[in-house]
Amino acid sequence: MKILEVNDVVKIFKTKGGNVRALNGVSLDIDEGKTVGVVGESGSGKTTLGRLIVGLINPDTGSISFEQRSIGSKVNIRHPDIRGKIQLVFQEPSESLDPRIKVGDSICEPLRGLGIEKSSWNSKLKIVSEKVSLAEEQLSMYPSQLSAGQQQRAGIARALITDPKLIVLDEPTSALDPTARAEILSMLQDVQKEFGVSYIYISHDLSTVRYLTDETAVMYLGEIVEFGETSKIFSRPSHPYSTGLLSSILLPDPEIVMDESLELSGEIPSPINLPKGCFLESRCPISTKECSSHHPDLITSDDRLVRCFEVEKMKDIVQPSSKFEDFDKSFDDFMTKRYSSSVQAGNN
Amino acid sequence: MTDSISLSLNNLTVDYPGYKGSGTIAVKDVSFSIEKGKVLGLVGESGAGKTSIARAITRQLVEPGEITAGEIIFENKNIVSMSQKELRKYLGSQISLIVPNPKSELDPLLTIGRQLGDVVKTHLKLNNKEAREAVLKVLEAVQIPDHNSRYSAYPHELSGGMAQRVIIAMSLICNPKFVISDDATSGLDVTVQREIMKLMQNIIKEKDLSVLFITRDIGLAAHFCDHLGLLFRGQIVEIAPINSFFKNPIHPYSLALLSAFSHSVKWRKVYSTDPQKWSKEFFINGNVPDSMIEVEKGHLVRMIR
Amino acid sequence: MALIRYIGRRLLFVLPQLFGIVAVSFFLLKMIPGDPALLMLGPLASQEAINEIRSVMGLDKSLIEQFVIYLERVLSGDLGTSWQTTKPVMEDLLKRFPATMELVTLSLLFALILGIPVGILASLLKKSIINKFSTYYGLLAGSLPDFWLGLIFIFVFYTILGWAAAPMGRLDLGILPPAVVSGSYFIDSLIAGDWETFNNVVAHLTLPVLTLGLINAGPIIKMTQSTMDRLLESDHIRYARSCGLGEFQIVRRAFRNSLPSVLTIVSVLYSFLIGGAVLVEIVFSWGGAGQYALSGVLNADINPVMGFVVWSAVLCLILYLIVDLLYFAIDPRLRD
Ligand SMILES: Nc1ncnc2c1ncn2[C@@H]1O[C@H](COP(=O)(O)OP(=O)(O)OP(=O)(O)O)[C@@H](O)[C@H]1O
Ligand SMILES: Nc1ncnc2c1ncn2[C@@H]1O[C@H](COP(=O)(O)OP(=O)(O)O)[C@@H](O)[C@H]1O
Ligand code: SF4
Ligand SMILES: [Mg+2]
Ligand SMILES: [Mg+2]
Repeated sequence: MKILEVNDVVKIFKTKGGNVRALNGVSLDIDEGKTVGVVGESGSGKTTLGRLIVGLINPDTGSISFEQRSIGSKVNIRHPDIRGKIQLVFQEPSESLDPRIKVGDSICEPLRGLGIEKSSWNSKLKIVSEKVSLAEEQLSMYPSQLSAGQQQRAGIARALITDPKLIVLDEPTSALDPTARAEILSMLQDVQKEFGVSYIYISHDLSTVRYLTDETAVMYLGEIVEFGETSKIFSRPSHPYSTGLLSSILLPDPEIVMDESLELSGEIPSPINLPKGCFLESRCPISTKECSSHHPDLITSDDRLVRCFEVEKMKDIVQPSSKFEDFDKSFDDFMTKRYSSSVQAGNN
Repeated sequence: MTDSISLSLNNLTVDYPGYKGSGTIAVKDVSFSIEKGKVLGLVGESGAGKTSIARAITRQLVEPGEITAGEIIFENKNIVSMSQKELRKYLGSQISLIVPNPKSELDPLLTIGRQLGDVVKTHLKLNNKEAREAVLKVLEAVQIPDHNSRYSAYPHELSGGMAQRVIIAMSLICNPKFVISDDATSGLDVTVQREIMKLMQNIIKEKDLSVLFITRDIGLAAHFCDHLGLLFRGQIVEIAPINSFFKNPIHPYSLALLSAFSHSVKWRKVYSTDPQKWSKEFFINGNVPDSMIEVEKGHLVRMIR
Repeated sequence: MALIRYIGRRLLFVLPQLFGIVAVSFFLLKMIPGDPALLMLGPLASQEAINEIRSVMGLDKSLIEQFVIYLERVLSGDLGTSWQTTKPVMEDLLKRFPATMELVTLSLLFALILGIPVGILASLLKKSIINKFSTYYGLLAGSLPDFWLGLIFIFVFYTILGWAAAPMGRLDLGILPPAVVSGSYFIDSLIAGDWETFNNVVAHLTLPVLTLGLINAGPIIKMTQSTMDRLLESDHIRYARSCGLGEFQIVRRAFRNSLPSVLTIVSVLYSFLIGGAVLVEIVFSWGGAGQYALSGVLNADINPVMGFVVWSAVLCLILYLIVDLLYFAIDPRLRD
């Protein structure tokens, strides 16, 4: 069942420098219990999309509905019907925690708004804090006494305590170290298995997106340029931008060589003066004349949606890559060998 | 000391006394040497002491930080015991630093041409015209588009990637022998990071630079360095030539970090970053051992046999 | 271009701002008890005479009407007459404001010349005497009343030592003021090349400038020192250091970055001193604008007070505009 439908939303911010076109017609669905990843460079509109979904800001045009109910300024995360069902986790762990309030109280805070009896708070707190592996004594500390990873866990616990149906995670791990990041992600996965919650996972870190999500939307300058099953996009991206993004990921193995078949040059242009043609034209190595005069639509190409005139050509340029699987497998092989030998060594 | 070594640290210790009661030893007994023309990667999580090492080498530690022990030998001279005056001759000309957050590291009130020019004028004693030429040349070398007009741009007018290129230009303008790069690309988008890394790679090769490449991203280090050292709470726990490191990582911390990248829950449960869970050759009596064992040529691991 | 648009926008706001200031002070002043007519004529005057004066002065009309009339007059450059001096207020103020501005400007210049180097040195040399000096100086300057310091100076340098000129105005009695160009004797006597007058002007300026300058150097030192402290620890200065730039360059860059804060404190002091120097003016019989306004307040002579308000408002608005332009000149980030 669809839990959330985003329909052709446009969001323009009026600023002194001009109109910032943060979102230019984005549509996205998400099924119950699933995770959709939203990836793209900074400024591509990911956070804006997340804030629209939870109703913190309103779209200029287009609509968003949650469980078939339309969301907007009147009905947002604070509305009684929806309250607690959609939650947002911020990029900066400190943003969701008041530095003067004990962590445990901060986690329970959303329950107050729901009018839930105080007597049941403790048992709920116990469940969620166990879920995110926060120890009991940490609940009575202040945020500054926790590490960044633990703060983010508390932020997630705070989101979980209301039994939400959907959690929008806006770069929840980008402030964290790799090991803390990995722990948070597997915790998120466990939580989903147990509670059946859906996630919108916003990130620019593609390796985590691959790990956590079922479907991926690649965004560029306020548009989705490619959408499809995560595993398919990662093994063979179809859009030049996704291809460039994916080939920029460096895995910790010097033998996995960098894929150089398609490289983007330059930087993301200003969202104030968007080009007439394809937004990627200034950076795309395979652009043609058409690309500078016409704007491509998001069209179905085999198993996914792609916004590019040269989809067919991309099929020749981009060969299927298994660098992630290769890395995982060789790492697993290595570790299996190492572990068995070290266990033996330990026995001796 | 052989002539093939550009810079070496011998038992460097950095202390921030009086901080949090008894004080933090941010860097403890760190030794390594960087051969001429090679890149040593230094990887560690936040707070591991990476920046403290970079700032110790340039002697720019933030108060109350101080070098309490050890030597830093650059071309047979000990930086630790240099006078400020002597040190100033090296900084920016022979040893240069690439910093993160390029936008806050540039003076907001001066054009980038002026800031670059000040550095060449100070070290190479050029006149205004020569300095301007040198600046334009280096801006071109770091592939800043439209470098003639960028000369008079202010830092706030640059994107993050451009500002990072300016910082790289600043580090190159006096043709240094040794460059320290501290988390240079962490604030950039991956596609931009990739372009910058390519640029740095070409320049390093072309100028035969020796580099200390500090990063939190072990994936980046894997593709960029000749040697790799892993820093854990101020100490190096494993250091090796790049291939040896990735073929045969030994220390549990190395394995835990790699497991985090592979997102392997299974292996993360086995190899933790928590020293309490390491086996006793790596952690004994509540401490990591003082000894490093050479397991292969040039591959050292902090453990007891 | 952006600059011109900015100035245009600023000037647009000037008139409403002026109007607001004038209106508020007008009505506030009217609330001060005391009947000017009575004060003018003395307690023995007949009711008739009082009524006549009242109607001549427009005091029999409603407050609003009085205000409208006043505004009309101000717009035509007429600030009314002062019944104490019996001269047009405009004429009086044209003499008195230059006196105040001269005093305040020179005092602040002196304060800057003293305060900035001390502030910089105190910041650079953390463990030095000058650092301690600056701390105590800040305390002392903040706690001493300026007029009291003026009196001490007069006592020591005039009464006892006899080094200073008599605290009786801007010039010795026997000396003619220079031809009016700017109204500042200091500048005008220089223009006229009249050294005798100039020396006399300087002699009279010395003690009051010293008084105000020493007191106001306190906040300038504090501000310079604290912003320099912050800047010397900032990322970009540390980076400049690690590029091997010399100490002089480093200090120059840090100081340039601290200029906006120093400018802010100077502009605050300046606008405060236009009226706030009044006690020192009185001590030195300076004949400045503050002194003039004060006697207006004490004698329910409203026109001088209002004239003073209008003048200072205009001066402050000009001052703030200049300060903003200076911010622009210093910081490129403000330019677009
Ligand atoms: N100014 C300071 N005063 C006191 N302690 C400090 C100071 N700067 C750093 N430290 C401590 O020194 C240790 C090492 O810090 P350092 O900045 O070198 O880490 P890092 O590896 O560069 O981290 P990051 O990846 O976050 O940049 C940390 O424990 C930190 O808390
Ligand atoms: N409140 C706002 N006012 C003006 N511009 C905004 C605002 N929020 C976001 N933007 C702009 O919209 C674009 C998309 O921003 P954002 O959604 O934050 O992207 P991302 O999260 O992908 O980095 C950016 O150009 C950003 O500067
Ligand atoms: S439409 Fe053209 S410019 Fe845009 S991504 Fe495709 S090929 Fe590149
Ligand atoms: Mg964002
Ligand atoms: Mg650091």
